[in-house]
Amino acid sequence: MSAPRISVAGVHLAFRRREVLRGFDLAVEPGACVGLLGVSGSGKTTALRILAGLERPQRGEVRIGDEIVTGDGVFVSPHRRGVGLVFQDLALWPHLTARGHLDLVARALGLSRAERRARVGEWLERCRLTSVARQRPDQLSGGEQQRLALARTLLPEPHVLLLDEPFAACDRPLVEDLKALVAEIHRGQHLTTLMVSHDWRDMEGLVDSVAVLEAGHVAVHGTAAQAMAHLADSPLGRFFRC
Amino acid sequence: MTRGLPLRLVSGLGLLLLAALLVGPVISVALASLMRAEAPLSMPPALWLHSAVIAAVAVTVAVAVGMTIALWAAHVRTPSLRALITLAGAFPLVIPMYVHGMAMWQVSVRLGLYRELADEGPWSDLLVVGFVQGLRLSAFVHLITLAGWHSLHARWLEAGLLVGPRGFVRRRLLGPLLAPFVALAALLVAVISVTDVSIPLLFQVRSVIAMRLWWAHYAGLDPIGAWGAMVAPSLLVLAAVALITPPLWRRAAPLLSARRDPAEIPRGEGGQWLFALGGVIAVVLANGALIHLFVQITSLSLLAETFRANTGLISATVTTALGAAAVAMFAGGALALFLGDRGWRTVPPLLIALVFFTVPGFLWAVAAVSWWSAPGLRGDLYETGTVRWLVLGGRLLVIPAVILALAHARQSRTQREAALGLGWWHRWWGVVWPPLRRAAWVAYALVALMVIGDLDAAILMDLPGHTTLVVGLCNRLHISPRSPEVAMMAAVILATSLAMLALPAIVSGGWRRWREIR
Repeated sequence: MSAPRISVAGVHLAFRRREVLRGFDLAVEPGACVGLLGVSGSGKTTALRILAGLERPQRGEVRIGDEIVTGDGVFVSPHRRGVGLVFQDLALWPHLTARGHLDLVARALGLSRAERRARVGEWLERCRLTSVARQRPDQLSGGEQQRLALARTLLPEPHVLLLDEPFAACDRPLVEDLKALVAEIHRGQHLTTLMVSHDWRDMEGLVDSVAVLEAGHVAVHGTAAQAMAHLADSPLGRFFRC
Repeated sequence: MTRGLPLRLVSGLGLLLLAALLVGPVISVALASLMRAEAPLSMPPALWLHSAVIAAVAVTVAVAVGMTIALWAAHVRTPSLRALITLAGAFPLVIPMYVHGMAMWQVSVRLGLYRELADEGPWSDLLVVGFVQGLRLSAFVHLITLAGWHSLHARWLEAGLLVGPRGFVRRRLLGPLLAPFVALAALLVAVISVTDVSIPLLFQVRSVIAMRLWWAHYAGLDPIGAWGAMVAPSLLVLAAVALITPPLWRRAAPLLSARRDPAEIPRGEGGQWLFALGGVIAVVLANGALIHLFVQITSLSLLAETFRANTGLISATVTTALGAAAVAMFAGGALALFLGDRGWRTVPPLLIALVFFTVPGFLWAVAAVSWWSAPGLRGDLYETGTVRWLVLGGRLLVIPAVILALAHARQSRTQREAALGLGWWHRWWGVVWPPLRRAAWVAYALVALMVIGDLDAAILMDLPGHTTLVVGLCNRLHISPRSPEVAMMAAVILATSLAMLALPAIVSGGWRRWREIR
């Protein structure tokens, strides 16, 4: 399967009385890399979780490719969506080594032992984790943890990659290093990628277009210049590091 | 990755508990020297086997019941409802082991099961003893599993849900993450089961190690190395736990968490309340019905009269529980805070505390009676009844030590360091203590309830004017087992246990908050 189109239409989600998403619409073309920019609490993470199938909206529809994955009476389980999500806090499993993480994911795919070993070795090497394969997450550096989270997400070969503030806890040189890795994977794996951040610099040079999320809906979706122009006029502009 | 710390701590505690089981014989020798040994005590292999069977049954029942309630509580999203289920799961702790045993005995006699079971030979008695112990000790598994669940991060499971179905996530992620907690709880249950004499005494099961030691004390025999023999059944139990837990988990988990993943449950789903409330009522009713068969409150005036007639016993029970809890909380709390972030240096003190716990209560009592009841100052102090505080509090100090150490480990060092500008008192009261408050309440409740329900040590250290309720009940049972007074005594024990539970809530401002809510 090639990179699919993502389409989200009229999604509403409220936690108790607080509305997080109000008529959230977004379309991401096949193979595109789109940045979702918004202040804290604007619903960016919730939007990603709905796409991944970790939250179920009260209204609205989500399509990945031609298939409705969330809609009226329809809900496809997270692991059947072909979606990979890198969590903001990485959510690495504390009791497993780096190799253990990847092996567990490979096991979920039903691969044979030989296939598992080959696939795990390939991703360890690709994300430069071979030398720390026997280490647990608390023994890894920040960059190694980020790369492990990325490797765990990409090993099942998803068609859609969702990144939730992937560089939030990294210094600039590390951010540039990880951006290069993400860009290489995005192009090499033919993925449709949606990346969430509150910092424009994290997206710069990586995304094809930018959607600005304000008060639970997309206020503007266009080129980086269009998004910047919108933010310059917006009272929220001062919150972004543009 | 600070959340990994409690997990490692619990795994380490499990290993330490095992080590304590192995060090136990050394302590037994020291205790035996206090008991003025006269003749060696034989320990036939059948005793080991019977103790192992009882402990295995207790662990199976406790793990099945405790885990079921814990996972159910964990899957409920409404906080007040979750608290209700948690309390319902902890309810068996309010009922002393001996009273629980009596209730079960009454039930089985009334249903005609006991005679039938007894006719089947000694094995059926072992199963009954294990079952009764397991039912009561399920509260341990429930509370410790729940604590384990709360130390897990929801994202860990969500990350698994993205790669595999729920069954896979439960089997490969949730199971291994919770396993150390369940194993630790199972070990505690096994130790308590092997060292308990109250239920074997009640069901007249003499062919177990604890009872052999018990009767050996009365016969003036020497139990040198006998407690060491208990290591073998404990290890057998451990092997049984290792075999039993995974299949049990595989069977229980899909039933418990069906349609309860975050992705599949819209928040605020209405039916949840009815489902959970029904379950709470079922758990409390099941325990309540069991106790009712024994307690049978025939009239409130008789209950009040029993209260008045037994004020001495009640005050002795309350002072013993408060005194022993104070000793355990003070010593255990100090140990927990001392352990802090000391790495491998935490091992020796924790090991000592665990050894205290794994040596049966009545052995401590025998040693204490031998040493403290001598003429002079020691004897005078013994006559006041305060030695019982030291014995019970010392034996149970591992409970607050472990619970508070776990709670302390969840607080990051930087949180404490951020308050360095404050004086030690403000730092303690404002920063260190608040996250420990709930854990301290749980530790206090566990210690106080175990002291109220203790028969093994209390009966040996019984003094005129200092008799506790459970000992009083045990004495009356020998005179008139089916009298209303016996039933009333059991009711008084339950009421005292509940009052002891409510005490810290009232002291810590719970009453004020309750009035504010009203």
